[in-house]
Amino acid sequence: MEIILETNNLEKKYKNFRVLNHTNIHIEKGAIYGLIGKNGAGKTTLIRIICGLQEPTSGNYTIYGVDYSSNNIISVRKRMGAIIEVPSIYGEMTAKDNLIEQYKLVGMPTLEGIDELLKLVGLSNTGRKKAKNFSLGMKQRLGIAIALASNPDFLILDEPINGLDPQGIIEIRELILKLNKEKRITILISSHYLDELAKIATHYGFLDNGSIIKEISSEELKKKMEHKFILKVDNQKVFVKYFEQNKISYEIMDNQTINVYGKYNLSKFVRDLSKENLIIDEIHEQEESLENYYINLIGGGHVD
Amino acid sequence: MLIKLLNASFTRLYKNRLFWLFTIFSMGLALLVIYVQYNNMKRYGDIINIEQIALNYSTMIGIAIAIFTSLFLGVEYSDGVIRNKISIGHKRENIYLSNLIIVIITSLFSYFLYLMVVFSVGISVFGMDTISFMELLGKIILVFVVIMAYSSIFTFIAMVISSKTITAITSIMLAFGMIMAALTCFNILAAPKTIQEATMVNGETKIQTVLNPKYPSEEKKKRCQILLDINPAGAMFQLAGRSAETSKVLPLYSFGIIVLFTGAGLLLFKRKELK
Repeated sequence: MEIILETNNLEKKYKNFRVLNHTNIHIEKGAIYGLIGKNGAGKTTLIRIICGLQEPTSGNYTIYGVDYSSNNIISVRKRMGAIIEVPSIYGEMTAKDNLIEQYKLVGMPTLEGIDELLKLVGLSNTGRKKAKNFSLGMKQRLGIAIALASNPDFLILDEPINGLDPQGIIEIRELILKLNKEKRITILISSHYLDELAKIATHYGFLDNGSIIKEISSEELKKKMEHKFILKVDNQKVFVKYFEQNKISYEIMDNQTINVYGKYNLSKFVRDLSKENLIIDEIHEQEESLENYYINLIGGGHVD
Repeated sequence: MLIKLLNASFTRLYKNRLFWLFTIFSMGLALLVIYVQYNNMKRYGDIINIEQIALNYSTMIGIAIAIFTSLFLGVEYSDGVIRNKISIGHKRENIYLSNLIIVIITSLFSYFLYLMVVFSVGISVFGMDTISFMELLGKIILVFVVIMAYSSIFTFIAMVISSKTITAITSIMLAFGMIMAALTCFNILAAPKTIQEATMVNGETKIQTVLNPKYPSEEKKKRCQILLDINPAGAMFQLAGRSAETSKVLPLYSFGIIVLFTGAGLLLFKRKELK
């Protein structure tokens, strides 16, 4: 799989304060990569560095395999679109004028496609209304349209749903999914709205205190977040045999722990095991959300 | 890439209200000055020099450039557009230079429109026979060079300071400061060598000529003249005819300012950490 963005031990210091600490992320082509971290974890700093607004103190990163210090990085950036914190729009201009401006900036040969872009983000009927009078959701959608003007194949969205109302959040979510599925755009999206990210991301990077503490695909994560019983047993082999005979999904975590996946009734499950003389030392029921997973991860709780 | 940035900036300029205000202000000012001078000519029989009218605007154009530059370029930071330009692959040097070029062209255009109104309306009202065309053309070219120096200073401020408000306050205060500094230098240079002093001797007032204690030393005069030449406001005052002889080094100083501020601006903007 082609890697679009890769950072290697990226570090950023402001005087004595380290914002990024040996950060390593890997974004595959076609992914919607959810960058998760609490406020101050370093998400925006990481994005600013990737977009060329700031220089890393040490470490490096590559975009489409091109090192950031290479002269070619300028041409590679033309394949990117970005919204960093707030959309880059001229408040005194209309949505269409903002897009005309962006078309000129990226050197598009004609202005064809502007109406289509406005339609894509649902702003085709804003007429002469100035962008400064738009709602936050409209501004975000205009920001995305501007970022799309150069037909990028890599889009970076920093906190795109911050401050949006529920309707705005749904619109942005649908737009992101549409861009990823229909236009095959790889998307890096940072947010601390975990439930929203869970609805769209194909991959996750968990950032804490400037370091990526876990990268995981949504498939892997889904498995980890399934309803499960965590069993502590002495004789794993007999349990494994029973689970296989009864087609029960399980995973051996260590020589004492087995995770059993599926929606079973706890008392019935224990009764069934007792009937087979399978003695359990401990059993915990767990249904994890992305939020729980994240909290466990940054809090040092049980994750894997 | 510079062409793309300029193309986008000219599109924005054309749609920008501030730009049109700047140009309308310049043309309106020309008409106002002509009207006032015409009244003076009618009422008091003043002889009006059209060249003087043409060059007078140059003494205050610095303030207009400061306002335009800080607000027009300040938006790039306040609306976050500068981040967009960098993230889509424009070189910082090109972003800086395109903004400088836009400010220079707008400022020159504004002064050009002022001149057009002054000459098209003014000549028919006052005539033109006081100085030679070539001499006036030479002065106007020098004014254009000093306008470029002004533009480079205010572009530097607007590109280095990220806050639009601080940029506007700094630029406007600097523009006034430069005018005040120039006027102070003029006052020092214009101080007479001797003054008349009245003294009472036996109840009679006696007037005698004495040396002016505020008369500057040759060294101080030299320093003041250099400061006046370096300061774009001082250069404009000299060109507008407030000193007997226009310094020949004015264009050199102006080019020096352009190179110095643009060089420093490019260096600082290239290293600037943007948020």
